Amino acid sequence: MNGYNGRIAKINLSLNTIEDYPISEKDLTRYLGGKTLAAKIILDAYKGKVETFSEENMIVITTSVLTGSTAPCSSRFNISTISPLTGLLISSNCGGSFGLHLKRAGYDGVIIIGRSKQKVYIDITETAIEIKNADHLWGLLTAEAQEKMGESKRGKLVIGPAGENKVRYAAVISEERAAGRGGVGAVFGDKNLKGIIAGGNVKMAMHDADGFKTHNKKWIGLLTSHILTGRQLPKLGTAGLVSMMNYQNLLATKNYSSGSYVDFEKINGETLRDEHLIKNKGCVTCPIQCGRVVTAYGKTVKGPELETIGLLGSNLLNNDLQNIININHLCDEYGLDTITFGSTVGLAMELNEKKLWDSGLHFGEHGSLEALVKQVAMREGIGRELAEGTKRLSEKYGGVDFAMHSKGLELAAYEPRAAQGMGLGYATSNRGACHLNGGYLVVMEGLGLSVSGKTTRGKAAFTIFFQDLMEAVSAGGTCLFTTYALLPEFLIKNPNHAITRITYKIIPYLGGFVGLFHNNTWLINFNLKSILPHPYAIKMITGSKINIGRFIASGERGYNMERMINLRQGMTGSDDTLPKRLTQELQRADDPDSKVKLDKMLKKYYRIRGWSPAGIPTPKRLKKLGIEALDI
Amino acid sequence: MIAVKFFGLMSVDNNIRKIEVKEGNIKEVLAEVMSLYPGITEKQLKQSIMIINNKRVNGRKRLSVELQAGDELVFLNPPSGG
Repeated sequence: MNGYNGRIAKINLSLNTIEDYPISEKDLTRYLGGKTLAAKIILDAYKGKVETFSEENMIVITTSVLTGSTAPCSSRFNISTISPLTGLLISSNCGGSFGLHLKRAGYDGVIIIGRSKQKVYIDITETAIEIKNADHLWGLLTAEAQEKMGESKRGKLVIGPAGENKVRYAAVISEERAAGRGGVGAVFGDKNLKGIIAGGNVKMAMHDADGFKTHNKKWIGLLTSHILTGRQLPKLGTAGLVSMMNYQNLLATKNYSSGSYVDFEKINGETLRDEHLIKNKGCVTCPIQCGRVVTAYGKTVKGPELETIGLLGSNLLNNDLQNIININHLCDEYGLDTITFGSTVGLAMELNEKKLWDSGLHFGEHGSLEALVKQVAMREGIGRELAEGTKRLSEKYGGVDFAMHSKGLELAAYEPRAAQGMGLGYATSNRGACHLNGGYLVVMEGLGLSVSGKTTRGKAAFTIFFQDLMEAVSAGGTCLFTTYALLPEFLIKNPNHAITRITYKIIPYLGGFVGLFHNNTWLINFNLKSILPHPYAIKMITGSKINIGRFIASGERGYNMERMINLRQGMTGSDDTLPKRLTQELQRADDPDSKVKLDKMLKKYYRIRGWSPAGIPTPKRLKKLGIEALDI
Repeated sequence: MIAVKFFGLMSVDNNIRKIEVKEGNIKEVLAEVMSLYPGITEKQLKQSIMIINNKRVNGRKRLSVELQAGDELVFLNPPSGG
C-alpha cells in the first residue's frame, strides 16, 4: 500500500518464532505509525496489567508513513514498551537512520516478546529475519557493538552495559542518537537482546510522487528559510536556548531549586559554538542540522543538547562544559539517558546536602561524575542506588518533595514555575514528565514567543492542542522541529513591536477558541501547506483524505489510547502531579506567582479533554474518537 | 561603565559576546554599539529582547531608561529547540 510496507514482524524470543503480525490498511491509515500505531498494538495485546520485566512485556519498534519518503527529518523511529521507571507506557523516539533502514528492509515495525535464553541480536533483511548469537557483542560499549554487528550501510540499534544490567533509565543507541527516555534499553537487556540490524532496498510506493516532490521542496524551503530552523538551530543547536532560559527563570538549576544559574555563560550555546564546535550535523533527510560535533577524550563525538547541558550542567552547578561533553559521550557509550542520570545525581547531591543520604556527591563538584557513569551502568558502588532513578531513590532515602519526576519519569531541563503551561504538560504527559509529550508549551511561554508564563489563562486548551499535535507529528514520523513554521516569524523577529506585544496579551484569551477547534476538528478539515505541511505530505503519499483537522484528531486518538494503557497499568488521575517543590515552594520569594498552579489548570484540562473529574476518558469521548470498542 | 552582553543570533552573526560602554540612556548605548560594530543596525538592536539587570524592558519608553555604572544590558534573540 502507498506509504507503508503493510508488514509488521512479531518475534518471540522465548519460542524462537517469527511471524507476521496482522495489520490492516485501515489501521495503518488511522494510526499513521510511530508511537500511535505502537499504542494500538499494545492496547490490543494486553488484557490487564503487564509487569515491565516479564516475558509478556512487548517491545514495539515502529516507523511511520513519512519514514523513507525524503520528507524533512523523517528518518526517525519509535520504541514503545512498559517502562522500568514508570511501570506505564513509554514511547521513546530516536533520530539517526535506523527507521529508514527498517522500512527499506520491508517492515513498518517489529514486535518483540518473550525472553531469550542466550544473548542475541536480530538481523532483518528483505528476505529473512534471523535471531543470532550475541555473545561477542555482550558487554561492549555502544559504538563498538554497532561496529562489530555488521555492515556500516545498514541501520543498527544497540544497548550498552547499562541496558544489559537493567539500569532503569538505560537507553537504546543508534549511531550516536538515543532512544533515551524511560528505560527502553533495560527492557532489551531483560530480554537478553543486544540490538537489531536492518536494511534492504524496498522502495516506497506513493499515490502522487510528483505532487509529494513539489510539496516536499516547499516544505524544506520553509524550514531552511525560517529564522529558528534555518538559522538559530543550525548555528547554535538546541543549546542556543540556555541563555534565554536563564533570563526567563526557566533553566533547571541545583535540582530545580532555582530557574537561573550564575555561571550559565560558561555552558551556553554560544560558548559551545565558540570553544568546542567542530561542525554541525543532522540526521538523514534533515535540512536543519541542529546536531553538534565536538571532541571528547580525543575523539570526534556528538555534542550535548540543551537537556543534557541543563541536567548535567546548571542542575548540578557544573560550569565545566568539557566535563558535560565528556559525560554526554560516556552516557551514549554506556547507554544511559542523560536527563534521568543528571536528575538522579542532582537528587543524590541534595540528599547529601540535607544529610539524608551520604552519597558523597556535592553540588558544584564534578570531578567524580565521569567515573560515576560507568558505576551506574555497571551497578557498582553508589551506582547501584543511582541506577534506580529519582522516584525509587527518594522512596528509600527521603526527599520525595524534591525528587524531580512525574509518574516516575524525570523532568527535562525546563523549570516550570516560570511556565505554567509547561508545568501542566509535565504533569499530564503519558510518558511522565517529558517536555515533548507534555506539549512543549514553554516554546510560547518565554522562548520563541513571549506569552506570559505566569498566567494559567488558556493554558489548559493550548497544552492539549500541542500535546495532540506533537502526538500526530511524532506518529507521522518527522522530528518535532518540523512544526516550527507554526510560530509566526514576524513575532519572533519583532519581539518589541506593538503588534507583537498586543498579540502576546491576547493569546491566553484564545484558549476558548483553541478548545473549540480541538473538540470540533471538522472546523479545520482543510490543509494549510505553509503552516502545517505534514498532513498534505501524507495525503500525497497515501492518497487518503487527511487534513489538519483529521491529523489533530489522530493525535488526540493516540493520546487517549496511551492514557488507557496507563490506566490499565494502574495509573490514576492522582498521578497527574508534580513534586511539591514546584507546586508549593516559590521559585522566587518576591513573586507569589512563581509556583505551578496545577490544580487550577488540571480541572479545565480534564474537562476540555472530555475526561471525567478523575481523569478517565469518558465513553462519549472514546466513541467520538472511534476507539470505544477497546477495553480499559 | 556598563556591561552590554549579546546572545543568540546577534552574538553569532556579529561575533560579539560582551563589550563595555559609557553610562547613558539606552538610546545612547545603542549608538555606541553601532559605532563599534557597524554591521549591527538600529532596527536589529531595537527588535531584540532587552534585559536590564535581569529584568526585561518593553515599550517605547525603554530607550530613555538611564543606565548607571555597574548595570548590565542584555540583547537576546528568541530561540527554540526541544
